[in-house]
Amino acid sequence: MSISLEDVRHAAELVSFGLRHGARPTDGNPYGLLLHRYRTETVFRDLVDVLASGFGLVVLGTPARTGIVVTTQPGSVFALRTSDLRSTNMSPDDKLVAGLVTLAIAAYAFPHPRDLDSTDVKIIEVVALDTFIRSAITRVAATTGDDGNDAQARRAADVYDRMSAFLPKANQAGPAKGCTQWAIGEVLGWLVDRGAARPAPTMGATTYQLTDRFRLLVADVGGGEALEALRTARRESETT
Amino acid sequence: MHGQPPDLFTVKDTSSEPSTIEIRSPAADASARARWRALVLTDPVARLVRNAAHAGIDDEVFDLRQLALAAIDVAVASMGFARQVTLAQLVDTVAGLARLMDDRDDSTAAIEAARWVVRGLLNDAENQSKFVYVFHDVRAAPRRREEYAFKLLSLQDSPSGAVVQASPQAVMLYLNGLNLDVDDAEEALSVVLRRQLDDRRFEAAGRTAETAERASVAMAATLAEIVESTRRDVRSADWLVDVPARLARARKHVKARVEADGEVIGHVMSGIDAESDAAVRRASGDLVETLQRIRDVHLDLASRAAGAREVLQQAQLRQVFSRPVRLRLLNVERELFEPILTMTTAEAQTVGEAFTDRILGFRLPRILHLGDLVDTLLAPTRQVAPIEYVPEDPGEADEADAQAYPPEVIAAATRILRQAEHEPVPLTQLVDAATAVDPEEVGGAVEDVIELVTLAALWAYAPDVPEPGDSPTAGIDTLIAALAAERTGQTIDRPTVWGNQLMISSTEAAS
Repeated sequence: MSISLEDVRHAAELVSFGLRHGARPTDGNPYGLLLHRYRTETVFRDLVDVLASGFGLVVLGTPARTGIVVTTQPGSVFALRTSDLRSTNMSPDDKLVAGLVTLAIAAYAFPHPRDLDSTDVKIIEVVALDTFIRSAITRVAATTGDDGNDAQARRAADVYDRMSAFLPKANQAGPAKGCTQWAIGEVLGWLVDRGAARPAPTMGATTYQLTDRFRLLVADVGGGEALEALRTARRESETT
Repeated sequence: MHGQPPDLFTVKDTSSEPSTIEIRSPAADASARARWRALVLTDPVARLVRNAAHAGIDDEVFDLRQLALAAIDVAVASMGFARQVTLAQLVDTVAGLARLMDDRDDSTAAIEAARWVVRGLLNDAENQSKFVYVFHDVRAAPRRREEYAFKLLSLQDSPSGAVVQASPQAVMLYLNGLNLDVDDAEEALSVVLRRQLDDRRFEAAGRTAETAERASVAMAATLAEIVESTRRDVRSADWLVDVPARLARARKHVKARVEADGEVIGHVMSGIDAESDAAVRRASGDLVETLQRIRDVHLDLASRAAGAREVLQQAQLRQVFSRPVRLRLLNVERELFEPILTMTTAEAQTVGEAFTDRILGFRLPRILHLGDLVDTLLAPTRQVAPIEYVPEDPGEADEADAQAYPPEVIAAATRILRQAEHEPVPLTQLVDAATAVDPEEVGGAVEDVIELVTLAALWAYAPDVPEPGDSPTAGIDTLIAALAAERTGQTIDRPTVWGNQLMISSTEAAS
């Protein structure tokens, strides 16, 4: 089967749909038709994968509800750093808390390894997640017996633990900047911006639904790279 | 008694009272003796396990029940061959299995355990005589007690020594009777259903059949889930062992269930025709409908099982060239989240960013076209034009005021108002005078004359204080300014004017 220029254009269109977080495939719309073609035609699928690879992108999967999920290869022009996000001027502690929250969302949503292979919808609520993180900190502190008094060796858990769970805003409802509930809301906002989560107001004002994109990102790249970073850090701490 | 848990067995003695409810199963009664015998056939094994501690055999180390099953298996396997297994070989074989259970690799303990098991199966404690149990037959009249004696293993002499033989009871129970999937909930429901039908408890059978239907639906749902996950990723399910086994089980299940349900349906249908009790006929009819619906569920399961292999083949064809999925099924909490909490902030930040950067996906770089860039840079500074406000045109000042009274009306009104210059005049008189004005004199605007006279009277009653600097006006304005009005306490009632009567007078005249 030969590939026509029209096919290449369609493949590029599908990749561009993957780059638009707001695009949603349906049965009849152009996105849905291209997605169906990707899932049913091997040649077209290969073409899309190769095209994406040329852009430094990787197709992670094509969940029916989410559409084509792409992520970046290392060094891609599309690669996103935490510093590119909407919260500018983040202090090191803010970045650390954001990283903890992101990991906690994954840990909270996928308590078992098999959950990462399930397309079940996961619901996240800000206060519940904050409680989950604080209980994990308590559990870890009880296990390690580390009181964290050494300022040089201050644990990540201490940074989170010493931050207030909730600070009220002056004139309106919701948590103010500087508390952990605000940080959780901020990270969930990032995920919403990236198409990895959706607000679920019917379940509560501060409730979010994680998308398949989030699951695939955790299972496919995020978990692996974080594990590698963890191992590297441990190796370095052992040698020093 | 306070502070003590209730004794669950402290119940009222009702043995002397007549029984009001009798729940008995005729089918169960019929098979009670046979099932009791099967039950006691396992008792020798239970007994040897129970007494092992007295012989220094550690039941925690050795799985004595499995060793007993192995002993019977070996004995049966050698039966019929020219060389049957001897007692020594049997002990050695069982001891070999026992050694696998013992992490200490203590061969002596393993041999002791094997001996204990074989002795128990031979009933060595009672000189290898038969095991004897007593069955109380309470259904017989008169009630009686029956002894049931059996052997599990026995020894026979042979040129090579004592050989071991398994009894028919051991073969039937331990090889055949126990060879069933006791965790097969659906099969268990099927057994219950057959029992209820035998007992002619059709309503209960209907409920049981619905429970069996749910089991079938669950099996179909599991299969559907496997098929769906295979469509997503062929490696998500074990198609080498697990899924083929599931499919085989599903096909076997469907075949058995369709046959069994057909048999039950036929059984019930034949009973309906001969049944005279209307309630039983109705319950039987409901049961038949339920079973027919369940048969559809089974057939649906059969079609799913038949199509599953094709799904695999299509998925393989579609996914064979695709990028290898790097799905990493990690325990995020244990492997990442908790370790990072205990790390120092610098290390934790590295790991956290590695995770977050990948989770956040990608960004779309803003690409500026060169031509657009040049155009943008060379574009002249934008001039902000002031907003021109167009003043409202007041119109021609020389035009006649649309709201002004015509001169002839003013003249007529002035003439009437002058009546008050000499003496006080009631407003009624002035209005009547205005009403009597010749229309031709005022161009037909008699009502304007009345209105102007009335307004002048009102103005005289409540005059506007002129602002300082206002120049006095001539004509009627000067006249009106020289008038004064007072209420008389009477009323005026004319078609165009009504209310309090006013007495109009001239202030100049008064002064």
